[in-house]
Amino acid sequence: MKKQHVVIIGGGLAAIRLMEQLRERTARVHISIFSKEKTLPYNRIQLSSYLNGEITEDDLTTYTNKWFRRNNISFHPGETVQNVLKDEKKIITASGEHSYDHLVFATGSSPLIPPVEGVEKEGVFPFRTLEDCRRLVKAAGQKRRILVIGGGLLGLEAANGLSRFDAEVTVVQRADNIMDRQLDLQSAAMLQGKLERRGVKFLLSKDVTSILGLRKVSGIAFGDGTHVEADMVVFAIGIRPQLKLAEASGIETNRGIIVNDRMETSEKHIYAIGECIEHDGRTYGLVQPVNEQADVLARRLSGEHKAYYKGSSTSAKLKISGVELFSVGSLIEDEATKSWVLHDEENELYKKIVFRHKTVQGAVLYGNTTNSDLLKSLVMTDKPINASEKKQLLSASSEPAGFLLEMPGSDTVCACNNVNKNTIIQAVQEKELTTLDEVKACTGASTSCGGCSSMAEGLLKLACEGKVEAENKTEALCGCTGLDHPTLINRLMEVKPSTPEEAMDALNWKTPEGCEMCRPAIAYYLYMIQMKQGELSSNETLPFTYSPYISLEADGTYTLQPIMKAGIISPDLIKNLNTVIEKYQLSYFHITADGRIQLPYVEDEDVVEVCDSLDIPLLNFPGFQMTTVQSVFKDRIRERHNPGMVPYALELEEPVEAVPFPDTLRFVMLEGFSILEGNHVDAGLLKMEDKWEFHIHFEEKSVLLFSAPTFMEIKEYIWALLQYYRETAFFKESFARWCGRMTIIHIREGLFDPDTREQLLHQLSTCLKKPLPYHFSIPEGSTVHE
Amino acid sequence: MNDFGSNYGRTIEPTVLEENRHQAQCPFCSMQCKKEVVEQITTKGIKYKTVGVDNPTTHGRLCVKGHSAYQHVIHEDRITAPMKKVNGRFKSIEWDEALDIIEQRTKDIQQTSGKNALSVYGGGSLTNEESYLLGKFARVGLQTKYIDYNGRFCMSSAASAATKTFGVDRGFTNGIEEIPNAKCIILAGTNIAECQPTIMPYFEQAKQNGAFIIVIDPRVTETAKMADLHLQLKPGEDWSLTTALLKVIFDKNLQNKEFLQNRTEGAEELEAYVRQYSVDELAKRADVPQGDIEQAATIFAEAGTGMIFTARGVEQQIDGHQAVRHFINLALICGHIGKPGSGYGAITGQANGQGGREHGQKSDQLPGYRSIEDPKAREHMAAVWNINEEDLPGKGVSAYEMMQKTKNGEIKGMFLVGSNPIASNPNASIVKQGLEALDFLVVVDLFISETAEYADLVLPSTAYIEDEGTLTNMEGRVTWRQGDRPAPGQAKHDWEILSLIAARLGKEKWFSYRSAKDIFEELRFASKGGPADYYGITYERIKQENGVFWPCPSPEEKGRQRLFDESFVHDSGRARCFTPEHGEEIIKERLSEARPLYLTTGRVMSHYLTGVQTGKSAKLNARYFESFVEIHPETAEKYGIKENDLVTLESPQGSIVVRNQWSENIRKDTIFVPFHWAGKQNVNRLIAGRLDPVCQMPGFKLAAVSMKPAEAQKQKI
Repeated sequence: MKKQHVVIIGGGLAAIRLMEQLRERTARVHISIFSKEKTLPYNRIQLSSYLNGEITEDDLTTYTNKWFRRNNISFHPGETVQNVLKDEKKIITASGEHSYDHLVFATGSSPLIPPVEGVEKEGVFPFRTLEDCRRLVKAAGQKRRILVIGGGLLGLEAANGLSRFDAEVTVVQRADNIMDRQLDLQSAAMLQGKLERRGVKFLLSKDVTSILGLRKVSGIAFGDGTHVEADMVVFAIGIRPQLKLAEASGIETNRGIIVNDRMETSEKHIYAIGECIEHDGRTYGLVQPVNEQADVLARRLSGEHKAYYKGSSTSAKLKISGVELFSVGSLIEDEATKSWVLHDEENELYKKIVFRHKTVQGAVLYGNTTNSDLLKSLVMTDKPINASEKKQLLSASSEPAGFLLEMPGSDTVCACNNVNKNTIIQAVQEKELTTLDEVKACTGASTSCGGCSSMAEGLLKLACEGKVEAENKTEALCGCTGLDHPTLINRLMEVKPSTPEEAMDALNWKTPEGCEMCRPAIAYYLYMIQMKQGELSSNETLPFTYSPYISLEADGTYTLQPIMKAGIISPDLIKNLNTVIEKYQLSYFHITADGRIQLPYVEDEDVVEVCDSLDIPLLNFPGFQMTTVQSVFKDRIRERHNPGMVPYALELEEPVEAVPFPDTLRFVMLEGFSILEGNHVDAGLLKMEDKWEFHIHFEEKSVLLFSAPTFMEIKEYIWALLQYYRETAFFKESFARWCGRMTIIHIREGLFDPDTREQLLHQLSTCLKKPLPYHFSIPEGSTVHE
Repeated sequence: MNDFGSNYGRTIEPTVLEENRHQAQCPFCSMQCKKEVVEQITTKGIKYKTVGVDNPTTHGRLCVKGHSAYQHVIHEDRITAPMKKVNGRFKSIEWDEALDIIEQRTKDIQQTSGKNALSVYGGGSLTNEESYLLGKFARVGLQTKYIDYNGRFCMSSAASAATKTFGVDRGFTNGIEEIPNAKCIILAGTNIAECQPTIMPYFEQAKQNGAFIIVIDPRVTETAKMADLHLQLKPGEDWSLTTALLKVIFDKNLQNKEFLQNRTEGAEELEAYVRQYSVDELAKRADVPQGDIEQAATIFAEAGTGMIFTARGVEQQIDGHQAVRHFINLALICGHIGKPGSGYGAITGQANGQGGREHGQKSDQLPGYRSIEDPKAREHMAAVWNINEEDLPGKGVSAYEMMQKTKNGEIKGMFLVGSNPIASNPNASIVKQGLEALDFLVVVDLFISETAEYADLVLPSTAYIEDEGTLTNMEGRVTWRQGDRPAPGQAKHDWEILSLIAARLGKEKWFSYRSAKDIFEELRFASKGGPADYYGITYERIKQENGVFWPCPSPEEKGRQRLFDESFVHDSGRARCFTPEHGEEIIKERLSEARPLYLTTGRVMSHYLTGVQTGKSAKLNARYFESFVEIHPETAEKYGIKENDLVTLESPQGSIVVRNQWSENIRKDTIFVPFHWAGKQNVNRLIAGRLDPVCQMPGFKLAAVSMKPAEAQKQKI
């Protein structure tokens, strides 16, 4: 299809918004912009800040000529459209004819200057364009008394901007209070007071009748017969839609260019948006409605036929002189309305909500604009308010995002797709997401029922603003390096060092020898990488000190730890211990906190022999081990041993006794219990009447992870789980923490899938001396799920 | 190979050798979300993924069920050959042998005990074609009057209530896209957020448009969390609550008098009836604050447009019929029906809960939603089927009653297709005895379900993704499911199986179909002129128009999306307001010292029906692999129950043992157990066999039970 040519008349906010939205949605249109103003497009809303000196002219400009070229947009500044040839679908400018497929009027408005006597005098200015502001800035410096005519939003902005000059600035307002359309008496008085403290003066209930002076302005006369002196007058009483070209082109107009819900004018292929339009009898002068109109048109021009403009609420959120202000709906009260008012004089906060029947008719928020979105939607939709909305609205200080901040990271946001708060925050921060659609695409959250979209959006906002951090954000291993665990593993896989020393060397370790934290971690990761890639050639590469059963002490002796399968001590072991103690003149053995035996002070030269006599495997692997599976249970009175469980414990433990784990794992086997009690173990296997259950200690509760009808089946699940832990946990990441990070549902998704379970068992089997006795066959082709 | 997120995995993308894309609709609820299952044969094994496909109802959205709904299809436990029970164990046999056995046993039973000694039991997940054919199989193939289906436990209250009020029963009276136009919405006993998640955006949109949403449920469900007003009533008190709502509207004179006068009948009687009650008393009975009831009634009545949705919470009660009619009364007296953005909807649960109840699986019904006792309907069907009217059997009995008849020996053989009654019937032990008492049970399924364990023969059927056909979604939109994945092994479509059996019984002439489309062509004529008229719908139209609404009496007409714009279907053209006869109030189970807690049941998001299919999916099972009971922490403490420990629940019907979960989201006098599990965790063991007198719906959603910590088996020391 041929590219459609969209021609926009006007270079203001509406035109810019439309251009941006179109570019974002489609590459299939060519855009031309004809702007009467000679400047690059600028942000009109910030003109008062410019006037105020807070920002410079450069700050106002949003797009450069280069940007237009790069984005294939023809921008024609200072080129006025003279004529529209509707039938030929062409416009005429000074440079000639330009044909269009779609023509958009975004001609905006011009400042309203009333037909009072003397408006043509020197020293009378409008306040509207950048050019106007330039002239104001130039002139204001030399003036003594400036009058701003108009106490509405525009006038206050102008007055606020001009108050930085030496001149005395006075706002002249026809109504009894400033911003009479948006504020009630109280809030208007508060705002006026604030501005007065900045030096702005006010003349209320004054009707301008004529401008005094000969050629130059000298003052103003009012309807009540009074007058004031002035050497400069700024008109900021409102705007009038700019209709000349539209009228000349035969487009239907009233107060503005008349458009329907599709932003179409009376003429085919001609649209209008922004301050120049009249929709459903209303014209708009604020930025939000203009944006909404531009968005609807952009959607339609990019082929979306269901986009409609339904009018905008008359809400205004503004910041004047540092005061946050929000106003929506009508504040006019009668017998049928009831209102709620909060006035905190000390903190200069004011809040008024006018209710009609069960709905909100209007509201004004001064000082704190929390809840403005809710108020806006309540007024716009005319919805009866519910109890929680009422509570939220009436509370003196409410922080709507509060619950999102307080919510634990592991709490589910999207129940449909099991996405928790942490995942969203992490995705936003790591991948620098900015829109809800990106969050959806990245995390899957809110892609099914959409119920959590507001939560997801709230989190996106908080994360973008840096108000929340992911809880398990990975941190550097230790002071020896800046690398975190996942990055370290990836680098190790790339660099392929064979020893921890080589690794530290290659990865720019800050300390040459590492420390107690990073050295074993690297050793463990290297072991896992080599194991996983089938490259673990010999155990000789690592010294004894990396075995979990043999530890080198500071004094150069070794502490050994015999294996006690199923938590029992055989008579042979006792005999051997005795022999060893006598033979090597050791002083004693002691019992560790988790019930194991340790033999200290073994000399370097005796280690191999002692290990041999005590059946301690001369394993050279780093990491932790699974502690002996306890077959002991506690009832209310004392600990009892359950001999019936010993064979099961042995069977479960045997294959994995010499396998390194990321962290110590404490296991128990119980019969006669239905949950794990106490906190001394990570997990437990419970024998029930008709099945086996595997429980873990998680968030201080006993949580059933899986169950199976026979021991044969459950042990395969457990072995697969152990391997899952080994493959995905970081060094020294405890089992419970790992469960929290992975989420229990995710762990089960893996284990319950027969193919994944089989792969895990297969992986575990490859790093054992004897193959793992599991019943699965090695798969020919396995299944991958997405 | 799947690296399951291994830290040490190498992420080399496998090469795709072959790719098959199968268009289907998720089989796990009545939204019928369109999707595509992509099957890739790669260098690292077979890879699956699911992609949502745009359609007018769900716009390509899928929930976790839809995303995972291929896992059961490829599960290793799936049966792909006929299975015969030999010495208590199933062994696979050839189709010929299976059909020989069926022919022999069926004929034996018919000879010795008569044709009505055989029965047929269907399901709401079958396609329209298969539901229709199952009815024909019973009435023409077997010539038995005994046929019914699990929809009896699902939709019968809403179906009978809508039929009696409007003259027709189509789930939604409006298209789903009208929901955002409703200004006030009542959701009663329906947990759509978990059961039909993809419908939620319509309600979210309504909320954004300023709809006031009222949820009626004993639990703070995910759905209730969206509500503007949640009426957390005592389970089973829908009748009291709705009566109170009606009373408030009449008291405040907010009823739509013009609508009542021009479009309804019976409004005066209803008003007189409601006026006898006091809101205060009814509010106490329902245990809902009176102010909340007044607010709900006023907002609903005053809203410009309003919609009411009900589901099993209201319907699966022994007064389900009455309760639903009272909810519809509410729509009628406010005039919220037959207008854009105003209407009533029964949120169907099963995949084809709507279509399945229209074409003759029900004991008293002929295709096109006709009554089997209507002489004209019988004439019509006899002509379509080319049989003598007198050979067409009469009305049978409802599903649960059928199970009682098997127990007492009246029914000796059963063909059961796509259902698991041992888990889904109330008073499950009776069903077990009933199935055990059968001489001959044939089950058609994908797996050896708990029910199939009792079968003599289990015949392998095809899964949703392999089985072409039409399904009618909850709106009443007839959709076409492509289902073009080849059947695995010896598996056959349900309609093929029925046709093969019919042929063995000498009825080949009536069952000579070559495709699902052939059956649909016959169904069109069968339904012609009936309330659920499909005559104007063709496969071509469904494909072209992305689904067609019924009624659609001619190929030239558009399907009717919104019903009752001008008139209702009763001869008078009016809707019938419902007034219970005095003394018709149904007394439900009450709490006592021995049974001090209300039990209510429902679904969890990741499962469907009795879990025969969803339980085979790792992803879905990972969320819930066993049942549980939800208890308020204070209640748990009162009964000495430790969090997450096992609990025994007991009623006169039986007992179950499940683990408990603490939740503040439930009433202190109520506990909740999901119904997806069989055996010791089958909550339906606790449900009494009492049925609704009008529609024979069992009262699944309410039982008085006792609760105590389960006896831990103390070991011998």
